[in-house]
Amino acid sequence: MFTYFHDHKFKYEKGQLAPVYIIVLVIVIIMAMFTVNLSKVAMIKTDTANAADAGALATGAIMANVFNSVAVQNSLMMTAYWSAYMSIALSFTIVLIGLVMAYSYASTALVSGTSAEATSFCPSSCAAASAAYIATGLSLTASEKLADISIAIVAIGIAITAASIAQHYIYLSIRRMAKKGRSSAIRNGHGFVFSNSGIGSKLKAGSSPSDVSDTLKKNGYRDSYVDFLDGIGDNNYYSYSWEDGQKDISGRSHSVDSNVQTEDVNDFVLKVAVLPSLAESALLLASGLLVDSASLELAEASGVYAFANGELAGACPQTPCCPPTPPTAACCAACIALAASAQLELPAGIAGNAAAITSGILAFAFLVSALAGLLPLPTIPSSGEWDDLLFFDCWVSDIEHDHFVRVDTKQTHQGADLGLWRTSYPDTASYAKVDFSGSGSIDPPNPRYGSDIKEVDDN
Amino acid sequence: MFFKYKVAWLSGVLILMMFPLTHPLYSAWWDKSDVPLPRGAEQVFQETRNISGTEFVLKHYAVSQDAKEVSDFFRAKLPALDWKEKELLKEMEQMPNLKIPDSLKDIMAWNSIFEKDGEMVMINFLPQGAIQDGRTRFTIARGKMDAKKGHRAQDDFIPRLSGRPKIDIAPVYPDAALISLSENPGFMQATYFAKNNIEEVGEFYKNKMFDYGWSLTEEKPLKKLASGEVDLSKLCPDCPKDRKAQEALKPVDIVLAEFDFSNQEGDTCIVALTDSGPKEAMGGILKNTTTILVQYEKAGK
Repeated sequence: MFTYFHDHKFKYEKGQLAPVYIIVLVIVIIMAMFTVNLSKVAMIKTDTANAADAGALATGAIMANVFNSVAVQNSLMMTAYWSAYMSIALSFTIVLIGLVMAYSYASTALVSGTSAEATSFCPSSCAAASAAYIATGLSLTASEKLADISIAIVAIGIAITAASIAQHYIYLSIRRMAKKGRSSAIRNGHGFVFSNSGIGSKLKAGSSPSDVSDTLKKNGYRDSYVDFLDGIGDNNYYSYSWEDGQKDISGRSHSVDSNVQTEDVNDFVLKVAVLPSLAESALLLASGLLVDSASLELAEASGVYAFANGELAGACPQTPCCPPTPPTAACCAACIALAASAQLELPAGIAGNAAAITSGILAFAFLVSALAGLLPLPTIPSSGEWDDLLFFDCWVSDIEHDHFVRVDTKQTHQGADLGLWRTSYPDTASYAKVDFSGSGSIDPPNPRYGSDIKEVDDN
Repeated sequence: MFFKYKVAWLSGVLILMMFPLTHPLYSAWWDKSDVPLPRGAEQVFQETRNISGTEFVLKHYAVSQDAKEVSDFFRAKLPALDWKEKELLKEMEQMPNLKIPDSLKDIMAWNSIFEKDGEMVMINFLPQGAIQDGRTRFTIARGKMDAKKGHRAQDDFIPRLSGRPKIDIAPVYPDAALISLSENPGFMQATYFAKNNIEEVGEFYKNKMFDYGWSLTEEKPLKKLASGEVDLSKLCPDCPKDRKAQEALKPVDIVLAEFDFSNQEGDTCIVALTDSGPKEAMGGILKNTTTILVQYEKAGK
């Protein structure tokens, strides 16, 4: 046999390709392993892209709903302002009508009082008495009218206080709703990122055995993952890490990160009335005090006019015995005395009457300023603190927000050590950016916010 | 025979039905339609409120025409229906030393007041462009002024709103007057005026809310806001500046308190209290008064 081989060994040609086959086989195996690795990387990339898209769309959709709700609530706030403004403006109108009327009475009383003073001489004391009588009645009527007006002004103050507090609390409710909505949007965004990241299929079913103490090992079970999802709040960044493999044996570590970014909804811009509500109160108080003072002055003037009227009325029957010059009869002396007394009294009434008119005009000016102060003109930035109550909030003019949501997600998976071959996977990240502005607006309220993906990564 | 009776019977019923329309006794009812509306005016809401001692029905409208067109419409139509216009702005402009701000003058120029048989119709506009949706908002207020009433009690002037909240969500302070009400699904806000001081009203709500299933979650302490922080010389350039006017301008402050409640369903109810206004006003009639705000929000709204 040895001789046979020895004789034929150089002529034996079978198995010449075996080494080539072996080399090809090795290459094929390497390529197959590389391909498996690549497909895994591609799968991870698909998962991260899906997760980013889903998270961004979910967050964007909820943010759109939040802004739509703000628009609807803002419309209610506008209606409430409308109702309050109109009823307060009407109250002002009635008060102004009353003041015009009182002014007219007081002015006529002043003219009559002045005329009474000018004619309060004995020969004309009948005409003077008549003028003083008119002045008495008119100033008393004006005084009573003003007393009613001062209470009506207090009522306007009550209505303004109630309306400004009501508007402020509707605004605070809108703020709370927007903040809660944003938190919910972020929470749901993270939820969608993790749900679409493929973690669930990579974890072991059920809960971790009680003797597993390592957190990463515990996280390798679905129940721990569910607990993690339940605990997600409104932070921008969350990460879930776990380790696979059997307990006590070091396995491969994995992690999925989620970063949901959308601007805060803290910066509201409010449309407010020209004057802060406390300034309104101060103006109303001033006008009320002036009207009150005018009412008292007129009441006093009316008393003086009435007194003078009494004296002049007493002088009146004696005027026939009082020839123009020189006075002869005793009755004429009485007439002159009574008329002179009235003449001494009347200036005080006239002065009070005139002072009341001045007070009334000033009250008018304050009331007109207070009414103009209710008009919605300026906008102010608002942080929602109690100090905002100084202003009469009409409605929300805007929320400073770019109307964008950006979600970034990253997956990190440790490779496996296969002895001859060691797999490794690069960190895989994706992002998506959603614009939720749609065609909506806060002012005028138009609840047509809608989400739309604007940008994704090209890798 | 039967037919004859039937016709007579039907005629009788018809005459009875027509009675309210024809009898002069019911003319007031008929009169309610004698304020025409501009084309396309849409009534948005309606309320009945006590304004300066008179009960007014306020109907709020939105329309596509501008304020001037609407104002011109009423000024053309109402006098033809025997309504006499009261020219308040003209009367005010004739008063000496009274400067009316231009912003207000524009609005007052559109607003109009009409009177007929002791009844008053006031048409007021929201400033043009305030709500930027291209529509004009106006309100028609109608009330019967009782000239014979004479000097009235203070209570007559409380700006009371007729009605009450549809849902009985929180106690109402005894004898408190409803001032404003806003109700939507899952939301209710009401303000009241009570003749008692803020501490007593606060105690009432802290004790009584429990009966309605609410528990106190937060109590914000009394806080004072003062008008001293407001610079009126800048904010109110048209305010009178003379000595008498400056003496009348006194600092004003309001005190606020807030109680937050929640129930087992997670609903929330805020009770916010403020003292109602300057204590110095009109002989101190606001001294022990409180404005109460009750705001209910259903969970998950």
